[in-house]
Amino acid sequence: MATVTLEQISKAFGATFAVKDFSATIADGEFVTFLGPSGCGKTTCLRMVAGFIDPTRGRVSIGARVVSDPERKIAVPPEERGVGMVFQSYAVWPHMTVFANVAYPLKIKSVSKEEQRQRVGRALELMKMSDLADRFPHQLSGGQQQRVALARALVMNPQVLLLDEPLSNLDAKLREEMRLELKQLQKQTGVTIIFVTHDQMEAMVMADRIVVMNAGIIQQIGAPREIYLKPANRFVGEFIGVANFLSGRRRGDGFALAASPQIVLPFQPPAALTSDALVMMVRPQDIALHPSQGQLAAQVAQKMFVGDATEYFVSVGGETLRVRGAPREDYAVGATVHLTISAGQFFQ
Amino acid sequence: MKRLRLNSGQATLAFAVLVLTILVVYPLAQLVYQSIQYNQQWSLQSYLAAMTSESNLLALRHSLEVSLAAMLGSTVLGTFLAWLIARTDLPGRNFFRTAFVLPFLIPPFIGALAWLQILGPVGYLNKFLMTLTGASEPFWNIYGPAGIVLVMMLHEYPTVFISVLGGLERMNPELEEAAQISGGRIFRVMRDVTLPLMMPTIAAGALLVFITDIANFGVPAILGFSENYYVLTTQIYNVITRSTQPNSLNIAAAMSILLALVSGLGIFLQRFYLSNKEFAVISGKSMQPNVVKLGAHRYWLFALALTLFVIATVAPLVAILLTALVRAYGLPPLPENLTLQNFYDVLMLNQSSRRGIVNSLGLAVTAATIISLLSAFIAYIIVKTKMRGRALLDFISNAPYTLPGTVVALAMILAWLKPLPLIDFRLYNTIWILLVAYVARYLAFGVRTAAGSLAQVHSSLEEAARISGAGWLQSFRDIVIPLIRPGLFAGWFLVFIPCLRELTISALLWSTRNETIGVVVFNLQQSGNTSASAALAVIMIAVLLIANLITRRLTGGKLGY
Repeated sequence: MATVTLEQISKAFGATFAVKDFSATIADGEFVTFLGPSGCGKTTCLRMVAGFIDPTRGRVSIGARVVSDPERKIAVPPEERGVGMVFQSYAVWPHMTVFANVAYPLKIKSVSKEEQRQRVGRALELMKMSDLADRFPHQLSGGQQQRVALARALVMNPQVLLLDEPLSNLDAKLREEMRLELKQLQKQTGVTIIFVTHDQMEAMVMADRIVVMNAGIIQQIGAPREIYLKPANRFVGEFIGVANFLSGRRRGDGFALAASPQIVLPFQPPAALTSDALVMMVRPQDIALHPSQGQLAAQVAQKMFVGDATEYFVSVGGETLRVRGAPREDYAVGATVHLTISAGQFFQ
Repeated sequence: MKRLRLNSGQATLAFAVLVLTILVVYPLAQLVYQSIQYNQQWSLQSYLAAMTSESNLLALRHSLEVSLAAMLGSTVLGTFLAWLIARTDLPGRNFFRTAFVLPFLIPPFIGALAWLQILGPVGYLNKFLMTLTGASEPFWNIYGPAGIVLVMMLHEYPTVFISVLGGLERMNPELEEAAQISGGRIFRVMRDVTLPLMMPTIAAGALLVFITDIANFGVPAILGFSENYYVLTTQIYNVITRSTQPNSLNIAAAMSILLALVSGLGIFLQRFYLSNKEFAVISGKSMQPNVVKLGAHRYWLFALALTLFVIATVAPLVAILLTALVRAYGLPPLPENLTLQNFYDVLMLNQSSRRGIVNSLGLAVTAATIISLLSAFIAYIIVKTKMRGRALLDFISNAPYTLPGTVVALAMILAWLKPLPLIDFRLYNTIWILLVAYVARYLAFGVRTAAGSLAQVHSSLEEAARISGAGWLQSFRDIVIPLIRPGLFAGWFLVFIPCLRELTISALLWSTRNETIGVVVFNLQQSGNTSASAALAVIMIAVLLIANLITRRLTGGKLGY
């Protein structure tokens, strides 16, 4: 297995940068997710690791081997990189059986027929597809096709496995199943995985570390917990999970809301933030509701019962906050509730 | 008071059925009927005569040989060129994308005429090479099977080119990338993934070429007659026009049905490949496929592509233009030999060529207009109703175009030879039989485009008109027709252009005073007046080019080349 190192890579299409100064090291056996909205450059990054796109600048290494370095005119083609890849459309070849699909990488390497049978058998077994070896792709469901694509990517024991939004074409239930299976698979094989997705839930559940991207630039790299609890900037906070943003300014050792300066929340912005106007991010679950006691009073503007909670939109001094109440609590629209904020984070 | 109201839907269906019966069903039924008549009695003697005659068997063999060879050539050429455009970094790809389709603009029999000017016994290239080498014999004589194959191949490769190019461009590039990441080098990927996935497309294109070539009349007529080299279409033409034996029309009918069967087999196989949905490789997203970097090979491949363009399109056009401009056929195209006299002759002096131009334009406009109106009704029944038998309607309206033109022409002769009952008017030997035949032949073009437009018109639009109080016919007139007008319009041009360039059917149905341009070009050539025939051919190409440009302009580039 191998480390993947991306050093200062950029990809320009004409004058615009699809990816700019992307640096990340993916450790041996790590599961890293590239996460971001569509068009943020995450797929471009993945395809630069695969070798389908050559970076304009920077260096890509797989293990000790430099595979892309335009300065030194190194551009190892995809077929020589020894990585496995699962495509968004699965790209299972419709003119070959399941067996032939999975055996193809071995066939190219001129592996003996006997060994092909063994290794394909193992890969299919791993994907619980053994009994479908003789089927053609059009006889398979989407989930099964995806397993074929995975088996094909794994059969040559790649150092690195690249996954390009492989779950996005599956239905919700199957997607959840595959998440767990992919996780399981990585434990079994120890392969280094780079996984591209725009689904933050998927990234949280599966990744050891997440690389959050926006407009071609890395916003934050960190473990899911860290990204969620300590987003590096407002974009990350907003993109991952649900968040309220309150504008205001420093007032003594508190934070005064811009919309109604008489309300001062008991949180002191860190001294490192020098700007006067600040934004405080508060997750809905960090706000407690109480009928009579709290830091500040609010009016219920809207409510939605979602089963495991009731989601409220409440107005506080001109701002609307999203809050979660326990399912058995019930506040009527128009009622006054009292909020207690237990945590928050400041951005400039 | 209760008024008797005819169900307008049923009335439309009855109208469509009546029209199609007159145009298509009756003539084809006559053809079948006459093929099983001999000496005015039921008999299979015609088939026996058709299949035991040595010259007929030879013609069948020639047809198969020539069409298969041309199919092979067109397929290899078309596939290779499509690959070059879709999957390499060849310079000038955008230019070639258009340039490689241009042979479609030249009617095949004009192409044959043009190649006679290049490689005929006194063709420019032959003369040039003879002067160069001092040889006394022409370098290569284009008359005969090899020449027929060459011209057919150069004319039909765009069929394969277009479909394979489309297939390659719509193919999901991830399928190829998956093979590449599996360790396959680019040519291995082409062999193992790209080519097998394109096979159904290539095969369907190839079969379409075969069907077109086996039905072709003009090329083997121009390049085969003088060598006594006959294929099925020209052999049937001979039997109809030259044979004086009794029952010759019956034998010709039997031969036509054999021709239709061979062609039908091709069509069946083609549909089979096209319906093979298991190889669905079309992706929704458009991604840049991987291209082969040609490196140093790009120079000679560019030269090759340019040469092919020159051979397929530029050379025939230049050759025929030169012949049209030269004072007398056979003189070298030197400045002192150039003249516009030939154009003056065909446009001003020669009455038959003047009539041909007028007749063809009149026929094309009339046929296109009639078809546009008819196809709105027929397409409506096929697309928008659940009436029983609508699939049959579709099939029948397609038949005259799918069948070889020679077969359709003979069916028309047999159907309209006798005077019509009641009015005692004979269509045969008048311009009207040409009109009926053209309408039948190209009806499919109109129906197809109208059906395409109709499928886009959501039925709720019509229902909204009905709920507002409009009757069926009223909503058809006020809502449906205006919405599909662009489609009908496009269909008009799709019919107009092929009518202008028609030869196969006209060659069998024309009569004195009722010539078409194609027929006059052909007759001038056959009677040895090469200069005049070339001049008229140039005029024909010019008219076609203009019509094509108008089509492109009016349809925003969707139709035309």
